[in-house]
Amino acid sequence: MRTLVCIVLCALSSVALAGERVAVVRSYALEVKDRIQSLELINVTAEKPVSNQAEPLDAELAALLAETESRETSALNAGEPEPVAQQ
Amino acid sequence: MGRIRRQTRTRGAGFLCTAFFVSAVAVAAPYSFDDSGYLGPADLMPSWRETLARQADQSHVLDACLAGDACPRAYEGLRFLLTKAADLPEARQINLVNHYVNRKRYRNDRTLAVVTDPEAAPVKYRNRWATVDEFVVRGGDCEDYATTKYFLLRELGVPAERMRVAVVYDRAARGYHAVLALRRATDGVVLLLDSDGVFRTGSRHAYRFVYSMNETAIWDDDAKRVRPAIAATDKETPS
Repeated sequence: MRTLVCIVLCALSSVALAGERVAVVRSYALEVKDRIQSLELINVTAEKPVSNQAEPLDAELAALLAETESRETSALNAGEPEPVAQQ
Repeated sequence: MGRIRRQTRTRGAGFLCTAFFVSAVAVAAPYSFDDSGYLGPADLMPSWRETLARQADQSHVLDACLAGDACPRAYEGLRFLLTKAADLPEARQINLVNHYVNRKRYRNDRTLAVVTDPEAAPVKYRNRWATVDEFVVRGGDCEDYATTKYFLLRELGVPAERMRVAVVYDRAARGYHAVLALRRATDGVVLLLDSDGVFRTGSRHAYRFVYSMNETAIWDDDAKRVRPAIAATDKETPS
């Protein structure tokens, strides 16, 4: 009889603990979803002009950047349509 | 009576000093790469999930370019830049990418719709995070500068766990802004690559961090500051 009572108590406590765990998971999902939705509403639009404290470029990097821009400009002048983005 | 007044005045001055000190510390708070504000995987945020999907779709064109295959003319400059930058040390790669992106055209994309499925209705998000391709072709606004720096530095081999696109509240400009937070490999210093060309570290900014993300996860940086309990609860995962 005592063994039977012990088994029943163990079964009941495990069911109770299992139920509690499910409740915690539900609470997590709702809070994160709500927070993500509120973050999505933030409008990120601040425009910042280039500062006079901008990190300087050394001569080698400046030359690389100049060559990059020259290639991009010549591509634009050639008038090729946009490569991948479609909208 | 006089003593009470003096005490009140002294307390008031003390409070003002404390408030000033606290606000100065808050302004100076550096970005932390810890996981205390972890919200969940990156795909929880629909606009960011779709940007990552578009970038994955479009990256094969750039990858083919870099491999020496056929390259659209609009990518010629980028191919040159990435090929040359591949041989540079990381610090110089960061500087070069930051300058390259910051020279691009600013364009407010607030009203643009994101079309992911041609058969479905276009979905409008408040923020539209640009891929490299979209930014090179059209330019973008501050969050696009940040995402393009992220994707280009990923292309150059900087690991995702050392970079996060961070949305901040700029106390000086009184608006929301985005920067790329990057932890340097050499010394662990956290840099904020900003669209005005400045690398901000430590106290050299007036930003309050709101949230951040990379291709693996999203972090609620506000939760680190004001709502630690929610952040802790959110870290619970189903077993």
